[in-house]
Amino acid sequence: MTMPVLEVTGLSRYFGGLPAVRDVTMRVPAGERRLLLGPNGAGKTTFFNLIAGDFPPSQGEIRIFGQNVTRRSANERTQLGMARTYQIITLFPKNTLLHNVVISLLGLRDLRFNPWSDLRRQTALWDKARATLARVGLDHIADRTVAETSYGERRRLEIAMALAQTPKLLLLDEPLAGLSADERQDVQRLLQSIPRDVTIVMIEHDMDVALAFADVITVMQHGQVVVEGSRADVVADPKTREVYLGH
Amino acid sequence: MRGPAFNAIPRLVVCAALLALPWLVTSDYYVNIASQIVIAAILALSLNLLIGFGGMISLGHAAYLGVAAYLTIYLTAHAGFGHLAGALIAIGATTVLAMLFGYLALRASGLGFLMITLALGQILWGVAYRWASLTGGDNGLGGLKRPHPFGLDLSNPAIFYYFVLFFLVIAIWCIARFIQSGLGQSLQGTRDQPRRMRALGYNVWLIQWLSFVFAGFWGAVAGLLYAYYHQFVSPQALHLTTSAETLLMVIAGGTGTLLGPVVGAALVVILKNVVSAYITRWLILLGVIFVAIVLFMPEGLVPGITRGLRTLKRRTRPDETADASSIAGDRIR
Amino acid sequence: MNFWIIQGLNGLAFGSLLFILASGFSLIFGLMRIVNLSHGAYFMLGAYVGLSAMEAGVNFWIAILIGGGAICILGGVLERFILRRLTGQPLAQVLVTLGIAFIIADTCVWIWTGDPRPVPMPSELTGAFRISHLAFPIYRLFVIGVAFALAAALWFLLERSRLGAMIRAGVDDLPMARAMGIRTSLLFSVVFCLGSALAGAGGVLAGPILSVYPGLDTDMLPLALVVVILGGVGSLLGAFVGSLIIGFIYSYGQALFPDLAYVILFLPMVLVLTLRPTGLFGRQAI
Repeated sequence: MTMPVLEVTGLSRYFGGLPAVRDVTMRVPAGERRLLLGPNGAGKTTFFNLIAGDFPPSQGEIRIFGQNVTRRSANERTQLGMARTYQIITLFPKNTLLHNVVISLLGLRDLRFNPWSDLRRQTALWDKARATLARVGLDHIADRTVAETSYGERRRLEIAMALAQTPKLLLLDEPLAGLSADERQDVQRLLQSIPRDVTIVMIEHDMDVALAFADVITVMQHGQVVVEGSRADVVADPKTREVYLGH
Repeated sequence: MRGPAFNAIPRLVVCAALLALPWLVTSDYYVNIASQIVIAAILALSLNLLIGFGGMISLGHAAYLGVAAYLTIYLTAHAGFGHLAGALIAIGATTVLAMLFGYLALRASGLGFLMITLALGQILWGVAYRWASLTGGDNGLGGLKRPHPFGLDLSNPAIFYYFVLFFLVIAIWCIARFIQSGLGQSLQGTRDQPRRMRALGYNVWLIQWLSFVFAGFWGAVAGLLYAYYHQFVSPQALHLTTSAETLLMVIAGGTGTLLGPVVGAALVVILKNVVSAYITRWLILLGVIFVAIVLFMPEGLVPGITRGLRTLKRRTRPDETADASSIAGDRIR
Repeated sequence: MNFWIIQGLNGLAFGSLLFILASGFSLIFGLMRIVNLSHGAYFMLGAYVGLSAMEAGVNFWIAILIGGGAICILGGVLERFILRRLTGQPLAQVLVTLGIAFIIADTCVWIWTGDPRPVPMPSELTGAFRISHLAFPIYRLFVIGVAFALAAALWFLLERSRLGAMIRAGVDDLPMARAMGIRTSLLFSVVFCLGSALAGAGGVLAGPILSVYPGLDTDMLPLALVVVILGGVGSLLGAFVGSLIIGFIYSYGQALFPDLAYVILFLPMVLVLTLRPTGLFGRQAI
């Protein structure tokens, strides 16, 4: 099976006259840990949002699991087996952590169109949610509302929400941002525990963790791919230094 | 989302009072007001499904009340259909209208949605007003005799009250189940975080559209009962003021609970009836209440007054060092 | 043939009145994101005020200024003391304008009673304009002229003046405009007053054609909404074209299918929403 899980061809996105992403081509095979690097404004998050389906590209094609999803909506892509986390917390603040994960699980089930059966009675769903929270180490506060949790706990909840859907393609947008050293270790361990049948594409600024974690690194600048290769390749390439240091 | 605002004992008392109402209140006039409240409550409950649980503000919800009422009267009193057939067709056709209007309104969101629902509602009013040959125009459509389901004499105010109360109970039950169901929880999720819901695999448009149709259906049921009660309908039932009054019921009772709109309906209907005995300028009062609620009690009259009473209670007992309502158990002094 | 021309001119005239109303509404919505549901009431109140001024002996032209001026002040006060308190709460602003609309409408019935009141036409503009065997009221031609002149004036204001540049900046990107030093609160007041004045003056101008009656507000408001939905948010051209389209449809509809005139109004809305939700000339989604 050499079909790439994610294949992007000639992808561009303009906002008015401003090119946020310019002619990006990328192939991510199954099981790979791909890291997107680049300074702020390089177009990483826009690129991410294009893959996730937040808005359509101006040009180019996106294929997920071999299917052309360029014109398909975000929810259709999720139904194919993709999940993402957000840089900005967009959870349900008034609901419990358990409820948040249940909503995530519900997204892939026909039950979400059922106008009659009480969701609270779906014990299998709630048990699975609790198990997912246990996996990220949050089951001890499963019944707390999100508003009552710390930033680090919310970051882990984000990951739990994505993992709950057992995705085959996981997009992580700065999963370690703003975390303390201990919290970063927890999340790092969590990420490394994700089995290899899940392909991960990650944006991250924390160099040590990211470089240790990644198989292949893509460096972007001004919306274009500047360097791409293994960790050793990228570290050695003079263009990488140019991107970050300007010379 | 929390459950109903009342706990068990007050709820039982309220239920008992509602059931015993025709005996507690001897005058037919007040029993009829109670029937009006019940019908308005069903409409307000259906609107709150959109507003409170869906985050979709509609200013054209009276459309479903009005169209169902017009169809019921037209089919039953003017086109020779039987009561049951007329009722079923009226509710069915109105629900189909909700499907169309929902599609059009959901081409936008937020303020755009509001504008479209308003425009659609007023256009319907214009149709009812102008197409006199079909709708009777300004004179309205009447001549409906109340049905006799299972031999019940609905011209008796007390019996009619129980008839509509039965529908209110069914409505509350169905809407309560909807709120706790997968679709209802999905709807509330789309209210809070539509972008996140899309990323989680939810077809936000479809969820909103289905909920819109469900709300339109219950609006149609209210319209059917409205037709039976008044035995007459005029374009006023479709007018922006009717939609606005229903909206007032929802925000007065508070959008956050299941039963808030019922309280709101009671408040508005009673106020309207009391006020019209003394002053003829009901709309000025409606407007002032709207402005006052929005400026001073945006969470709704009922939650706002409850909050106010709690603050008052705290202030009149200076020896208490904590808010009594926030303590889980008893305090031993 | 005559019929089509006359009805076309009637449509143009009605569309012109609609444009005077809708332009103000569109400016306010485009810049301030406020759906001003009082706009129809402003129109009606302006007409009543103008009428009373004329009954007090003032001539038509001064009455327009008085009507427009009164609503300009009313709008300014309401914006400053009520709407501004609700900045950032678009829904609350809408509900407040709805409440104000009811207060104004019912106050009008209280003061001017429920009878429809005809508004006298200025003597200079009575009579009809004749070409071969066609006759068309001069006043209606005048109103059409006013709308075109207004459209040109607004275009000039928006495209060529500093105020217009600030308005356009605000419509495009409000936080950025503020960050660049544009005093948005003052801008908001100016635009709201301008929009309100247009509504009030428009009401007086419409008087000789539509007369004034309780319910004029709820007759006109939905049409303004349909114009904005049809023409697109934040587009003056959209408001102009949309107004004319609705004017034509309404006029021909009234003449051909009087019962269904209102049903026909649905059609452009349905078409636009289905095929092009941003409206004919809108750049943002509604």
